[in-house]
Amino acid sequence: MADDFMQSAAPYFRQSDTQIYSTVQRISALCILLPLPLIHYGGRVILMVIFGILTAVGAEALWNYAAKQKQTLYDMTAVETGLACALLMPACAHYQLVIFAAACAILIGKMPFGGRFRTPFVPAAVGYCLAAVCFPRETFTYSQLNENVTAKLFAFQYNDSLTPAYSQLALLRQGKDPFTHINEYLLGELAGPLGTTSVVLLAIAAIWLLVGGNLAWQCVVSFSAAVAVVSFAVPYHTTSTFMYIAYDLLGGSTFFSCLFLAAYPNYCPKTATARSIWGAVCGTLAVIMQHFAAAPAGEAGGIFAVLVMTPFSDAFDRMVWHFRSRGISYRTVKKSLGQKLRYRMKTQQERELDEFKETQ
Amino acid sequence: MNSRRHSRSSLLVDYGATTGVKHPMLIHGAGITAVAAACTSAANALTLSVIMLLLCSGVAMVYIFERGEYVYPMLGVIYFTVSSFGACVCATAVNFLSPGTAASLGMYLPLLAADPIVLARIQPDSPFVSPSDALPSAVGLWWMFAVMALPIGIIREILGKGTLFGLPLFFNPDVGGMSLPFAGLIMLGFGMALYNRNADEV
Repeated sequence: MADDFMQSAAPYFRQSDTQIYSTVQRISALCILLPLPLIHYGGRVILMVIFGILTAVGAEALWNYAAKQKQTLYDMTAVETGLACALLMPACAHYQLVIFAAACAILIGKMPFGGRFRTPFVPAAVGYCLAAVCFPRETFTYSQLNENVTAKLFAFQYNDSLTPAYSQLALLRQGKDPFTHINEYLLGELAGPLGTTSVVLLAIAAIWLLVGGNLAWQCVVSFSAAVAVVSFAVPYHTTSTFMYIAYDLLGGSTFFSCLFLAAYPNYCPKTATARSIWGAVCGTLAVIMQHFAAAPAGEAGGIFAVLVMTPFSDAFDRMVWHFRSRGISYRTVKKSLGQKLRYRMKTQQERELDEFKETQ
Repeated sequence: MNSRRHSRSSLLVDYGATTGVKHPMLIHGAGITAVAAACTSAANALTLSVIMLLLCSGVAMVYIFERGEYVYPMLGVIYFTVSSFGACVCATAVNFLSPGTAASLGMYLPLLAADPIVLARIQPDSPFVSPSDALPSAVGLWWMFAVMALPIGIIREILGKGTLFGLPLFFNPDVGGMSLPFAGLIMLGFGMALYNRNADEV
């Protein structure tokens, strides 16, 4: 009984939904991203997802068994992590990569810190980043669309005969213009990780999460705004103004990391103001990494930025609480500015009348 | 056992001599770096272990001379100087015996001079050890280092290069990140967790 309760640091927040309900909803949101990859790449996608989920579940079960702790598989966070790891991999990635990413996500990113929601990092981000650092070629080489990847359904080795395709970010970093059409973004006809290329599916998943209350929309808005602003300020010179903002936000796994990693309510800050600030910092860091960092951080700047910033989410909450305790908050600043604006817009007679009323 | 009691000293000397003791994270970071960044192969780990043995023994000799009864204001400086000199001599000797071995360790070799295992004598809570026990104690500290460093080096070489002491194995996972410091830090963390788990059970 004593092990069921752990005192956590203030502030405390209450959520009406159970944690299992939230996780199941997030899993369903991730499943929304599967149809188009299935159409483009065939049944291999299902196998990758299965490998990812089985590895994550098995790793968590093994850890709990070795540590002589009660099993925590019922919360299904391992399923979510395995599914996310699979969706972040290219379609032509060999299965060992998915297994490696899922295993690292659980055994390094989750269980050593105490399990679900006690870790300072999003486990899927840890698994992906470790896979990207250890196997950069396999993680960032994509197959051509509709290439016969299904023929390699049971291929366990990386296949050099595949014609490599490069993501928009990779082409931009090479000084080339991707010449991507808006249709390709909508239908996911791009080179990229499985679940990150279709804007339509990502938007549907975002709406699904928002309706279910499992999306920190302040993070999404501020992240996207920051990406747009910083992209505008630090443009790629090979393409037009509007498109490089689209490339930075929608290319690669940036938007996926914004929705499913940065806007994860259990890992991002809890107050709205802190979420907005934190999301903006994440977005800024993501673009800076995409533009200036060496591979692999440059290819997956969004995920690396979220990985770096997630441990600081509590710090942003405390910063907001610190200022609120001193009377500085969004509401007070808004009220003060509103009063000043109303005062300035009044005529001289109205001001004198107000001052006379105050003296009465 | 009695802990060492430092004498009062001037502010400048105290700051210069015991900065490392006052900032244990800095010292421990310097010590961990040698394992995390340099133990990328079994040969490197073995070289570091040999040098650590010589260093620990040299510092133990200083301790025997000091006898633990004379508390110098410059105690930390003395041990730092001895360990730095010892690291330089050991590296030269190792390089003479096996050319290129010390050079492959790069800048991480001098950090052994600031390893908390080597500087254990100047810690405020270090136990008092008689001169006859100083050398066995040093060997014990070296053993603790070797137990951590050697498996890390072996595993990183097998997974990263598919070799063991330079000899190719029948498989090569080619995990590129094994040569990076984060892999060593992660393995150190798991090693410490295993040690704590076994210690709790005992």
